[in-house]
Amino acid sequence: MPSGTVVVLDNGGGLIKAGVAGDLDPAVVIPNCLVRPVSSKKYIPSDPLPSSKTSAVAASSTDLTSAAVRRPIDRGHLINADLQREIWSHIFSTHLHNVSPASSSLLLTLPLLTLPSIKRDTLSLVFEDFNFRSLCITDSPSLVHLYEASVRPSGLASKTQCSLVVDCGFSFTHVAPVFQNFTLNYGVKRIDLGGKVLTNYLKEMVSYRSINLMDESFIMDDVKENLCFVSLDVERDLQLAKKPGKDNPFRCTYVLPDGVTHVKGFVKDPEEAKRFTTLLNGSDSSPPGVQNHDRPQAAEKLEGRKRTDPTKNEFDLTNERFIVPEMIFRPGDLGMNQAGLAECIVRSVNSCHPLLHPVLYESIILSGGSTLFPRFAERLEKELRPLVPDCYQVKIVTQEDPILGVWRGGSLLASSPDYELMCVTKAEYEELGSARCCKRFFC
Amino acid sequence: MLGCFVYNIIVAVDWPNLMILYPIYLMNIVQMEVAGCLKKKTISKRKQCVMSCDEKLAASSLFRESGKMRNARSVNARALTMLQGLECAESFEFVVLLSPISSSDGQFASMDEDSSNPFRRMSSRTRKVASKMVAALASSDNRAQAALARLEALENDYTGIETEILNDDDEASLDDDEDQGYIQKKQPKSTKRKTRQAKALENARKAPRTFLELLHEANLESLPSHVPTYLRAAVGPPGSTSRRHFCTVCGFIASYTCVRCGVRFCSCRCQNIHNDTRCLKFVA
Repeated sequence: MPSGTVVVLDNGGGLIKAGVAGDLDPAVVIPNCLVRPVSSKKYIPSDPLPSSKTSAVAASSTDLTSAAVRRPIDRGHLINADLQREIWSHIFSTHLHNVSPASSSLLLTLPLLTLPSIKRDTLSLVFEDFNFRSLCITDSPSLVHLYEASVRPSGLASKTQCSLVVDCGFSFTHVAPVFQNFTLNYGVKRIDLGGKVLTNYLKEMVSYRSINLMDESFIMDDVKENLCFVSLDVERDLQLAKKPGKDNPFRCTYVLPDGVTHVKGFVKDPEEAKRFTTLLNGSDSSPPGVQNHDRPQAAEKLEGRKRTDPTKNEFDLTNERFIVPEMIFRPGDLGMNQAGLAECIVRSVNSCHPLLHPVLYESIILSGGSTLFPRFAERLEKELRPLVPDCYQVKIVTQEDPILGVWRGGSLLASSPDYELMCVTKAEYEELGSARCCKRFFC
Repeated sequence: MLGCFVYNIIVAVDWPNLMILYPIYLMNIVQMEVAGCLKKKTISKRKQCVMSCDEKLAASSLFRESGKMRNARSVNARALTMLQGLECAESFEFVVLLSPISSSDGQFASMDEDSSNPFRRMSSRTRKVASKMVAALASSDNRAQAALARLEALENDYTGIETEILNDDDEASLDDDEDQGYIQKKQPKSTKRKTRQAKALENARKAPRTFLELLHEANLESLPSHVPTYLRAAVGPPGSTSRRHFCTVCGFIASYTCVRCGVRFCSCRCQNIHNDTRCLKFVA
């Protein structure tokens, strides 16, 4: 059967990754929201993230300060089909213009354990509004597993066809065991923390302590991605963060955009931001001797720049840098009555068959944008090791690109020969109705 | 004997089916009070009008009892004539709740906010509230409420001012009149200014339901326990209840608690800042 083009669409709460199957990278990565900049009254789709493929210069991007945002996805699930339709039609008309939906097939990702009403809405959106020829719905963990197994054919994940996928996304964090390319949905555990909550927490703290930035979602996203990291020993780092001046390896300044000289914010001193990496794990806090020697000379040069000017639009961050990602590991610190990531993994593994436990612990794959914090994997291993029985090994692997990982898995799946068998065609949908079609997809 | 009883009366008027569930022996009193209430406010179509006429409010759900229907028939006619006389708009739902007295009715959950004023109108719509919120609201504890309000605020989307939506819709319909000529006819009809309340109602109706509402509707608890659902996939409470507390002002480890709102701070200086700026901010 000649296969037409397959459009792979990873519909995430934060970013949509869309492209044609068979490529290594998606054609476009665009935030899944409609923004209304202060200059206009209408909601428009946002600009795509710059990637290696796009030649469009960032200067043409819209100014996103104080932009109001409307998202079709609430807590990870699609609730506003109209907004989603607008965003998708924008993608198909602007970025994927050589693809016509009527002759292509769609591979779509949905979050795990969605409600039936949401699935029905999605199906009607795909078939009735866009008229795709056929559709296949998958969930993210099985695509991640597929991609990793193909990238590392000699690794344990591909030999045993089994792995544990930790997906820290925008809306929530899922820990899902995958067995033979099939997600075991009785073993899925979910923490209601994601990039959105982390950004809001950072906003709250910064707005209280320095400048009121409660409306600036995109700027705070930038701050979070550039400056936050995961600390390996929180008590020690908090002690260090209290020290004034040069002894404080964490203090860092961020400059806000002022619309005239620079439209986007930036970190004032990137060197300063990296100082924390000289801290060795668990050892003495003083940096090695070589650094000390260089420090006084470099310090005078940077002295003028380092001092934060309150009249300018800058603010400082010290302990917020590592307190914010700490929430994923201990949501109880914030008051949420949910277990942290390490315990979530343990509970997820324990709900599977005992023979699978050693295999699952040895092949943990980290995926999703929120795992991009520096030292995430180290910290997770350090927390997980005491909770796992001695006889099992713990091995954590990060994907080479956690944001695009799911899309790449989808691209692989769509290029495989069995893809056509997994789809539901439009004719079947019209004949059988959406309830029967939902049963074909197990997520 | 009869005089001491004041019955629970739920009158649901749904033209043409009139169902009155309890025999009404004190019809004249009802007539008076209902008439008074009805005249006070305009009843629009399909608007649920709830009045409570005595101390406590009855529960919100309507229920039927077939046994009582026979006696209710005679009362039907009376109520019908009474209401017709008031010239109400057609097809409205009209619920009158008089005070529940009979103690056998354990099914009524009386609300604590009393309406000592007989003409005070309270909505009887069942409000579905998440279980955690129920526990917190019931506790009437400022601290629990403040903590929960803070957590809810973290899931906020910052959608900005929503009043723009209505204006945008009007503009949009004016622009594209190529194939939708009938829209032109709609314009002269909507010249009447809508009140703010009507606008808000329309807005609320048009807005898509939130995920939590959909979740409640899906009623996932009724599925058998071997079926994995969204609710069962939630990782439960943490294994150990010991948690670190951070100062809300400066972010370092905090050992002291504010007596009014229960948040933590680390030193006197932070306490002063907290008292000046945001003690009890989240709780009105």
